[in-house]
Amino acid sequence: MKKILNGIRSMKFGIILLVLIMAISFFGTVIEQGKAEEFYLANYGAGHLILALGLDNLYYTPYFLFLGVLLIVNLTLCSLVRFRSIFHAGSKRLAAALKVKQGNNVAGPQLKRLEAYLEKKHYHKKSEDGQTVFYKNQIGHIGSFLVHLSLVLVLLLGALVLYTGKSQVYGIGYDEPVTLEDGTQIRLVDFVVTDEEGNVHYESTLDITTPDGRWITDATSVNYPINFAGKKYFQETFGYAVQLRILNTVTGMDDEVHLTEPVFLQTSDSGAGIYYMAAYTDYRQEPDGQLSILSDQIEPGKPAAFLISTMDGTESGMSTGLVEEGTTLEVEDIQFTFEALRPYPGIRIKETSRVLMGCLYVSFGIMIAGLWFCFFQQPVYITTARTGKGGFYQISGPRSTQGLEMELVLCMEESSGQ
Amino acid sequence: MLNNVFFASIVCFFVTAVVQIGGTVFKKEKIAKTSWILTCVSTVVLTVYLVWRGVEAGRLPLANQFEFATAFAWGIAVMTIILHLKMQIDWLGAISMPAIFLMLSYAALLPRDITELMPALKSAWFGLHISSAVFSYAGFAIACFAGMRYLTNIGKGVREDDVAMKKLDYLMYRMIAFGFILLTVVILSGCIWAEQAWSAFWSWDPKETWALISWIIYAIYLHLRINKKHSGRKMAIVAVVSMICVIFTFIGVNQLLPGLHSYK
Repeated sequence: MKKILNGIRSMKFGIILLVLIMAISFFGTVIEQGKAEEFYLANYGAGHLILALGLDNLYYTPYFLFLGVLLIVNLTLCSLVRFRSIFHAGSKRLAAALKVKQGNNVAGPQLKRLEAYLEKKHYHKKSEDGQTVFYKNQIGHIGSFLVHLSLVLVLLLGALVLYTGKSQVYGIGYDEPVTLEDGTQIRLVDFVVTDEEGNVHYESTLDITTPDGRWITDATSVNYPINFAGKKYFQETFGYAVQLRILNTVTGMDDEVHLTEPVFLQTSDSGAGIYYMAAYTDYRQEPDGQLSILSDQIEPGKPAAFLISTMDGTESGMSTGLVEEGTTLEVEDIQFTFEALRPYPGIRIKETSRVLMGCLYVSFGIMIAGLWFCFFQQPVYITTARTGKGGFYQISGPRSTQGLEMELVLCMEESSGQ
Repeated sequence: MLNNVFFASIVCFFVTAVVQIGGTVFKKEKIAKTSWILTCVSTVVLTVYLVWRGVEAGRLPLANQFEFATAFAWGIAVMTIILHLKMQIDWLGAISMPAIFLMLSYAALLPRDITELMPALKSAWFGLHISSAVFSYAGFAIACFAGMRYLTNIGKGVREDDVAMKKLDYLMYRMIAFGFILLTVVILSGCIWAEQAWSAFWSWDPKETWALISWIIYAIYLHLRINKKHSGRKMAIVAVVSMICVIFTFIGVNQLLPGLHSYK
């Protein structure tokens, strides 16, 4: 059992896992992810194999997730083992440095200069039995532990945030308030796709009312979500709705609707009415006066036309064609006026635990601090001792001391030259 | 005028590269001094260009492939100067200057128009995320150059226990450690930014995934270097090969694997 545990917590095993994760991630970038089955069968020679191995949704396959779990186990065990030793590492190293009996032999004056240099560099100093140890950066002993611990936390908390959070996109039209499962009501006040200077800027102004009566009117835009009552409101997508005014010339009843998808607006039981299909901004007028579509992409700011069918209740009385903005169509006693093309937003509403998010951010901070301690606060212990006319110095530490060795040699050389 | 400064910087770095290589080949003190002065002058010209562009754009000039490539070249130049001043590394210019010239030539092929930031880039994280990437990549590039020098020296018959070789090995390690910390900052700040912009910390976007692949490769390098005490030739090969991954993350992903980070 101990052998298995040692194997799982070993660096070798960790590296194997990292290489496997790396290799699978590579395939995930060359094979398009999350497309329909037909896409893989049509575009990849080995489409069946891709689907069989789950390479179409690679990052959520059981084997990829299993590798992630194994990595967490590896890092956790590794961190636990380190945890036992880090608190005593400094004192143990210091005690060992005080017992060093040999090292690089140098002349007396050079040793004196070295000690002066180390004191000038604010090294801590401890002397015992004629030996002196200059040391610094003992906090560096916890660096590696912090990095591994934070990695475990990031992976665990990230998974928790992903699997416990709720997230859904809602298209919110101007006259279609949305009510969430918990009773929260969202009403669109305004949505713009450009700012005052004409630059692209997607911003929705929303009225949000919680079931307990709390209320807010605020704007959400890309990078600046609304954070209210435990939910975040993200500006995610947008679409275009046709703003249509409907006037009954007999009753005088006047209404305004926003059409986002194909719909039949019936005027009477006779089957007369209009069938709205789609809106376009890229079209041209033919010599015979007909409008023809050039592209189905909608570009903001361009005049729009709408593909509709008008029906007078008989099969032969149906006419289909593009109708330009500002046009009024009359079917029986109803007037349909196409006023404008109006953008409407898709808002992602996300609910995640603030505690989890806070902990995740703290883990990020721990990781950066850990790496800093690890590489830029490396603990070093320099033992100096006098022997006869000269003496020796010896550098020790848990990491490479190559740079320091060069620095000290240089400092002694410079000193000799002076 | 702004374009002229950019092309002037390319010419400067070309001349510097030629003089640096000349200094290495002929080993003349005078050429070495001239190349050092040229390195500083070229870097100043490029700095002027970036500052000017930043002022004209009203933001950090890091918003698209052209600006990043230029900033990356600038990052390498700045680090070359710092290392020259701090560690008296005089061989670096002969590799880094031609590399900067190539990077700027690549940038010259890209559209240079100053455009308004797209909504996703208008964030407080923009500066930290991308400037960290510039210096992280620059660190990895210097490590790669040190690796190339190390391998070339071996080819010339220099022994691995030579002090100069140990210095090269140490430089590789320090530059990779420096780049690794900054790459971690890039990834983590990117996660926070992505959560604010796209509502998800991680989307397995090709750029994110390749940044993670680069991070894993350098994490393996550091583990082997620190814990397994590997050094020398093997590690030099890893430092050089890893840079291919970084270059692919920077150029290849943008050209071949479009995703959320496609800000051409």
